[in-house]
Amino acid sequence: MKISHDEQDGVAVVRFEGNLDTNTAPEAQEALDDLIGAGTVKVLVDFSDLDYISSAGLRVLLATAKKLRGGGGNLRLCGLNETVAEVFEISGFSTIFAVFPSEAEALEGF
Amino acid sequence: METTFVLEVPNDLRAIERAVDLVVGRCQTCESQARRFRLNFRVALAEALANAMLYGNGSDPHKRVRVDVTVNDAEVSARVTDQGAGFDPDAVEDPTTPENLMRPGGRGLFLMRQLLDEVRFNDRGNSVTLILRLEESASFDEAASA
Repeated sequence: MKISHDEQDGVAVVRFEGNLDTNTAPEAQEALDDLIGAGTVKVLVDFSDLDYISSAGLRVLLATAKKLRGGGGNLRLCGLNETVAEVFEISGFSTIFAVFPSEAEALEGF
Repeated sequence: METTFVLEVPNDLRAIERAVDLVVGRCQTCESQARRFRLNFRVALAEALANAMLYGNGSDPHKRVRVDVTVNDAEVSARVTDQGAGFDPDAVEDPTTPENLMRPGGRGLFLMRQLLDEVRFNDRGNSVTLILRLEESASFDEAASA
């Protein structure tokens, strides 16, 4: 999996490419933890190039959201493909995360 | 016509993606449910393999996971068996209830059950069979006779 990030208007935009699964979850968690450790409070994860997410990937998002909210921050998500959106829907994650169609819409008012 | 094959997968999380690719790649005849097979079955099989390696085999690199795949006109099934003591799948709570929604665990099994037509365990709890039905009429007949 490839992970990249940049900053837009005080929001760290993180992009995952490939699969967010048991094998890649530790790497993803480390990247997000590094951002939070560096003082980032607003994180947008862009899934546009993510093929699929497993339960291990969902755990990464849950842990990241808890850490951010504990520090007064927040996590937004965007660009879910059909598979990722279905996993979000059946796991109930679509009700606990702010999910947007695109980066631009997610950044608006963040 | 029925096709069967077996994979012996090393207990290494890095082997999951290749194992899933191999299974999906050898079952190209499942055209009637192509999307569900390509997406749902792939995610569920990856979950089952991860559970087998991490929890069943306790991340022991000397152990292996066996995958028995059967494809026929009616269904594709993959039986994933680890070398552990087994567990009680009924003891896993629903992760979507309000009290469990923010808890980290229990989603792998739940996803498998939601993504596929049937998920069943052996009595010992160290072998899970994932089933995706391929004939549209199968689910209709079952619904009609229920």
